[in-house]
Amino acid sequence: MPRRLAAIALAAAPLLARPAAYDVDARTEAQVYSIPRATADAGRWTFLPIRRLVEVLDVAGFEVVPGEDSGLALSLRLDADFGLTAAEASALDDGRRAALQLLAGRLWWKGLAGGRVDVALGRITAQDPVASWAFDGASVTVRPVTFLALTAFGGLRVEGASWLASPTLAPDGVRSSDTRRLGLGVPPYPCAALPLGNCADRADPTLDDPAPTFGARLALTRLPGGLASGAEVEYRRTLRAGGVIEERLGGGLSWLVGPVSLDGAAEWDLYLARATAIRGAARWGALPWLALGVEARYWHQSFSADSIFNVYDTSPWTETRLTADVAPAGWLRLRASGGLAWVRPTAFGETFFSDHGGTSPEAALGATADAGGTAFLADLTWRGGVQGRAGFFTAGARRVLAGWLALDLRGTLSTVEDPVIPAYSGTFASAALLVSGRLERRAQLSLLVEDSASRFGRNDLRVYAFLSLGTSWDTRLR
Amino acid sequence: MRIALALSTLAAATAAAALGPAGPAATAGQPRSPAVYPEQRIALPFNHKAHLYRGTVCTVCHPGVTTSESAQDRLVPGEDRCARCHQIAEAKAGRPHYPPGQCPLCHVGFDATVHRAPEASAFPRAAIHFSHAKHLARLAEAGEKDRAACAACHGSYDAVELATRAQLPKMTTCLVCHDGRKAPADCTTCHLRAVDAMGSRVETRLPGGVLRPGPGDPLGLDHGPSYDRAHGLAALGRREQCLACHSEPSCMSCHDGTKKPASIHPGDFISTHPVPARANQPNCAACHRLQSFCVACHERAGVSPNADPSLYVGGNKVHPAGWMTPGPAFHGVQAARNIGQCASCHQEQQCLQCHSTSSALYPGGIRPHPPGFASRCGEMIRKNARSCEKCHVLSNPADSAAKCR
Repeated sequence: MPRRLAAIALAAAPLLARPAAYDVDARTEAQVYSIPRATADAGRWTFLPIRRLVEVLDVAGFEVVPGEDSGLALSLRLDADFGLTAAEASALDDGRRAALQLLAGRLWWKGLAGGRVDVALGRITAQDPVASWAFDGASVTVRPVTFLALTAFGGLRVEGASWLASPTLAPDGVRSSDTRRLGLGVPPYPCAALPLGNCADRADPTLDDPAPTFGARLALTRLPGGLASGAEVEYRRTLRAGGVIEERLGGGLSWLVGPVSLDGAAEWDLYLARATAIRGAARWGALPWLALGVEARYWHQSFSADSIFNVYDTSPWTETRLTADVAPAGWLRLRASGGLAWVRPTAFGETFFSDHGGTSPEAALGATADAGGTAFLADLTWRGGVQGRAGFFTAGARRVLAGWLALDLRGTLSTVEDPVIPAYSGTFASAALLVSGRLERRAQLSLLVEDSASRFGRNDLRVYAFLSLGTSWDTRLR
Repeated sequence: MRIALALSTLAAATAAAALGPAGPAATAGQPRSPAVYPEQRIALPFNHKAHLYRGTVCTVCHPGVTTSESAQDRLVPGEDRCARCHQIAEAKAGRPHYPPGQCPLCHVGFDATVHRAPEASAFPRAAIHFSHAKHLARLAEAGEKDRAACAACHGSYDAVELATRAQLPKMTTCLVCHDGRKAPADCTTCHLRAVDAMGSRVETRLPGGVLRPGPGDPLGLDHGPSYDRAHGLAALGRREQCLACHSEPSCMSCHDGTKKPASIHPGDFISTHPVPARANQPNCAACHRLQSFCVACHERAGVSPNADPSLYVGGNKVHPAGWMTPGPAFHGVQAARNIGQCASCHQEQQCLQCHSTSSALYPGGIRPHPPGFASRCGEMIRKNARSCEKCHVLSNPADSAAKCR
């Protein structure tokens, strides 16, 4: 009940604030499908029902303070799966049948102090140079000169156990909450002493504790070279129950000169004392109809400092990719890419398991075309190497009838060879039909029907229905 | 030698195209966005080249441009403007006249004996803010006047017969001056604002279609066919540019793991996702959290040992033979390559059965740490000892982690 009241209060907040203009979006998505489930009989699978309903309400209000760039943005979501029984949900750590989630909810006031200060308050989704994350708190940005922005932020990190939270943007590697396990009588960490085996099944009572976070960002915008050029460096530290759960230093650079754009980012995990991600991409719009790109990425997975997955002997991956985008005519676009990823063995793996690492090549070809009012697409993606082999071919067509009704037909043929989970190897085929009707400029109703044939079952019908409604109005225009 | 010459010429031409000025000539032949310039219907065979051949200046037919403050103004001349030279009234009266003024001259196929209106033309207004008056004034200050001033944005009309949307300037041309120094570079200087009149977000849902960067986008943000899968780095590094069109909640509407975006995942991806997920292509963590989204689903599906035994029926052996036996198929090799794949099905307690100093299976525990870990573990314990305490008894002097203290 308190959650429902909170949701009503949140939804009503924009009305109470009486902004000068509003923008409202409501999206409903109903999903009816099944997922294959292993049974006690090897080789036989059953299907688990998914009956999902997702409702999203986005409300934005502008000019809460008359004449000022001030406003509020709210994104509230109800995510329910009626296919999950209460008994199943009670046996899963993150098995909620229904959850009300506040994806965003912030007030902002930009351009204070003569345009030099921006302030935001509330549930803020932020992007560091490598990933997105969220916190409940405040952010203040000061621009002493036009090309320099200094931001300080602080609050409580949004985690799975936070109020009205979705766990998506929380640090990974540990469960969202151990309330269920503690309720079942699982003893809490730390494991105090012998007997043997006493550490194995324990619960972490601190996962529900608030996680204060703070940090700062320095950003340079409009560097010499063009409009889209900038650089930034960010530091962030989050604590829970007296321990650091993340401490990161990241930086990014974007530079555009003529038709060449360069983007790079890197992140250093100060808890693990190692680089977790280094990414770079260059794109050259060689000709109006041709763009060539090169990408490189180094990643070494890291988790919440509470997670033991951090401290295992693991190897980073490095990957490179070349891409070409070609638009030989206004109605035709082609894309080709090819790349190689590689991993070195760990010293332990090389010594004791004769592991020599390995490579993973990949290639993709894609095309979209518009002929006679029908849009066609084709995409062929192949990946091989040490992580298994997979090939996907998708072809589709879309046609708009009478200006408001769209038909979208799509088929996929996949082949998978999985050395780690052999049960998932095989050939898979699926076909989907999407019928979408635009009822009004911002009102759309769609129905997607997809059927699959695989080794798990001959018929696996999936149905998705979408309703999207949006409107905006400006009281100043009346 | 010829090949070398051809290659050097090609290289020079490419370099010129790459780094040279981006005036209207550079965008000739490129498609125009129907969202900015909606499709026109032109039922008139007008010939600019023939009219300009006589030295005519543009404002003779388009006089409104000198005072026009809005892109909503009608600047295409009407019949009254043509009638200033073409003797339409004389032609209708059947009297001798020159220049010619017969209706079919412009209204092709029109037959006065058939009582039906000639085919209508339609010139929908551009969905931008634009003041011809201000631009012409600035060009005049720079010494550009008459046809040269028009050509600065529209290109030369010397060879143009029927002018179409192809003669309307693309953003590449605008940015020659709108670089943030010579002229403002804020998006809403030209593009229409979204409902938030005080904000700076651009309205993308326009009557002519959705505003979307296309091939040759001068900011390098071409949202081509693969952009849904490839926008990550640009979105993180240039988020201010993204937020010029997209609201912050719009990112989460896709990235929060409840959708099934067909542009990201091919059909029946639930059955085929393990290999792409292991290669982290696309980046799973951009939308899904391993220990909640992935584990919860895998537990239900019986491919994870975490859950209540009533959920884990486990008749199908998930991993291949040799998974727990030292050898080439050993699980440690796969775990070292991508431990995230382990964390998508397993929780920590499964690992701790062996990798813990109190392990009942392997007394003393199997040490999983990398070489050199001992030099870092003290600092890690100082910052957060909880992950260490899941395997070690730090208060026990005999425990290997006691050395880290």
